[in-house]
Amino acid sequence: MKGSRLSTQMLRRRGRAALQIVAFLAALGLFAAVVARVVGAPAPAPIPGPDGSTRFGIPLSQRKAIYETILSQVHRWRRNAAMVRHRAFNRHVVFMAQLSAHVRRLAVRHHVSATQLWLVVDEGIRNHWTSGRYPPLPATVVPLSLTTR
Amino acid sequence: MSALVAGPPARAAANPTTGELRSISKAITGIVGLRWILWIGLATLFLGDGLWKPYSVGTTQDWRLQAHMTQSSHRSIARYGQFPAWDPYECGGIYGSGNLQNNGSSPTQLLAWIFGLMPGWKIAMLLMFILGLEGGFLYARWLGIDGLGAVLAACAFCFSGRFAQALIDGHPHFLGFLLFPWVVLSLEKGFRDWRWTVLGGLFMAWIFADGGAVSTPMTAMVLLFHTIYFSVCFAVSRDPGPRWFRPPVALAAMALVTALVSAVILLPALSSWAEAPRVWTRPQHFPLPRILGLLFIKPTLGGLIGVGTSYAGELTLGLFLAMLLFRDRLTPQLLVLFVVAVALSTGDHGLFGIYDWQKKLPLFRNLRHPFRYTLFAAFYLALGAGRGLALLEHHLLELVERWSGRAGIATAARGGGDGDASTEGARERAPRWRVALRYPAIVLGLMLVAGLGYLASAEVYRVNRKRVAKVFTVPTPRPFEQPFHQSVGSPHAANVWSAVNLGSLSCIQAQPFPISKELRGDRTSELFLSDPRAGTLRLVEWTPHRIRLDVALAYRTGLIANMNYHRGWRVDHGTVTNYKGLQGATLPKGRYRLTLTFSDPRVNLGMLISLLTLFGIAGFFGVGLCRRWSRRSGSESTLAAGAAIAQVGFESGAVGVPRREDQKEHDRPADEGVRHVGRGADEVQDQPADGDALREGPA
Repeated sequence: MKGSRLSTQMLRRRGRAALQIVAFLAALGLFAAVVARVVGAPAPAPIPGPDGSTRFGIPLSQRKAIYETILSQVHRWRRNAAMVRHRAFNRHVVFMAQLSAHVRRLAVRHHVSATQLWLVVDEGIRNHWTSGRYPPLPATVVPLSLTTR
Repeated sequence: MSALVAGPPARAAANPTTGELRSISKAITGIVGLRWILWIGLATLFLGDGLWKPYSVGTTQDWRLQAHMTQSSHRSIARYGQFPAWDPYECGGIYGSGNLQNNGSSPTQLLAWIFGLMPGWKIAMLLMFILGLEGGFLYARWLGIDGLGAVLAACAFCFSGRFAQALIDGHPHFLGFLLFPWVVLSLEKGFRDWRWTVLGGLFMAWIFADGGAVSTPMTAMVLLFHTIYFSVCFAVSRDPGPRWFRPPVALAAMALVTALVSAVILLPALSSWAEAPRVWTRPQHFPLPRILGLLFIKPTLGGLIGVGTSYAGELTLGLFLAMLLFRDRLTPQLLVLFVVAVALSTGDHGLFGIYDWQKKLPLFRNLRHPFRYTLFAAFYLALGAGRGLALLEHHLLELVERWSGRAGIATAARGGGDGDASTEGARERAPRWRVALRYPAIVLGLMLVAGLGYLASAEVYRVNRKRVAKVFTVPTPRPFEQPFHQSVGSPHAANVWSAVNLGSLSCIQAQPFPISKELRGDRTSELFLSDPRAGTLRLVEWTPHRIRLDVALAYRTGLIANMNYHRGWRVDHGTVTNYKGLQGATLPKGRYRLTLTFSDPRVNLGMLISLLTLFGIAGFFGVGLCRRWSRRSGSESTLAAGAAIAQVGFESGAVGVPRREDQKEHDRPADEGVRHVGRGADEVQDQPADGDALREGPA
């Protein structure tokens, strides 16, 4: 009688141990499946390198046109930013927020990614592009200055 | 008084039949793999598009900043094989190790290295949720909340509104809070076994390394109150148990391990704090109704502190109140700590003045947004709800048991039967219809409780998951390779610049790093001579921490780099200088190869301390694990040993720590007072059987 109880206990323990292992492997399998799906998701395509006058996948004329559109808005953005009093850094942040929003809108309009548009902005500032009607964007920024309030 | 402190995990119900049925949920959740399947499934669905579309982030500026910092660190590690002590992509170059929001030293960077930046980062978020759920479950079980109650506690905490809000706001570094259950479990177990304090220290270091500028001090503050609570309890307790000083000693040991393991970021961070602190001077007060609204009203509008943004569930609150009504032994602990967390959330001039006291401490003055403490309130609330559910389950089944057995017992008494007749014996003489309905009634009761637990968990989960579902809509930047330059950039597209190997001069950071006004975003060369007629420079190699140049100078002159000055930069020819806030050097004349290297003594010393500590801990616990493994392998079959291996690390939470309370748990006489082994290895104390333990009120 005692022996049979022991063997039942042993069986139960082994059954439980087997269940632990099977469940553990199943959990690992599920985790691996999730990881595989995450890792297998398509990554954004790299922006193509320069090809003649085309840079960042955009022809020069289009890049200049895009940059001019941005320059045309600068005066308005500055006026809006000037309404922020006291801190030059805050005005700068407001200005950059408007620039960013405009870049996102332009990206949609020109069917290109925002990254490409930012590269165009950088190219325009770096090369001091100007349209004659609008002054170039400055290449300096207001340094980080944080409020304590 | 000992009743104020939660005892070791409670046993199944005293009654053999109900006990067996009640332990079904305990048995199911006791299978580690099954539990993990549940965690993985829930966490995966909660993150939703965040996982399925890994190359996406949220719409907020903070999301982009966090993505940038992760990307910048990843670039340093994966592309250049360098520890990200210097971040050249942000603000014209800042001290990466001294940036407390940076997760460059986090273990999760390893996943980004293995799986790629964005997939790895998202998998790290998933892992944090899984760890949080498992930690919440284990801590609940440590408090004596088993089965469904523990599952509810884990889910209600990990899927509470503050975590959803962290994902909405772009604060994925707040997911470090998910490790809090592990920390508090380690602290409490550490009262008796110091090895747990080491594990707790490791988890705290992880929280700190994972951009823990906010999560670390807040966690430390709550741990401090936890420690005070237990110290007071132990001091006034007449029971044999840990002395009053054990909790502070455990906390101090944990803090020491945290400091040693995270020395690589702690030393630079301390210097950053000292040089450029950001003390918040504006008082922030949130009235109690507003804090309760954050926790218990379903969110509608959103916003950083909109109503319901910390939503922890209405049913959860109901179950928490049920626990209060039952006057359970856990009630004082969970209630006190819940009230403390709520009081901290009320901020300046808030409840009991706790937050005002906190602000007097060094470093804590740098904290703001006290309402974030609602996250801890949600934690204690979730545990209380879990306990409430367990108590409901117990009382419901006890009711059924009495109903089906009382008539029999009464019959036995009238017939002059044995007063000690067992319930089984009495039941034999009970009306048949009651005995026949007994099992369906028990099953019905269990289903009711399970349903209630499901509804409470699902309510929190559904509401907050819905909020997270709208977050991940902005695609990550398309990569582009080009020579490094500083650009004007934009803080509103912070993650774009490091993806295209450009630095962004325009930036927003939480710490006031020194930034030069001389930085420009239109330089043709990032390094130039102060006197161009003196000679020529040719860039040979650029990496974030090492720049090589071929120099030919007719006479001694200055080199200027278009990046911020930091004392960590070194040159192998000449001397380093600060040129109007820019990194400069005075170079001797001649032809030579110049190497600029970022090598900060604080980072180097910290790295040495961190590595030595980690190796020491790994070695110590590795030896312990091997010994334990060999003992188990010797005494058990291969199958059982395998299961034990699967269970050891995660059930007990640390290698080499015995879970004596689980041993000999089965086959005890059902209704006798059980001699339980205490929380730690050394303590043995008398505990009543579970039924009594559940009924026990505060002293």
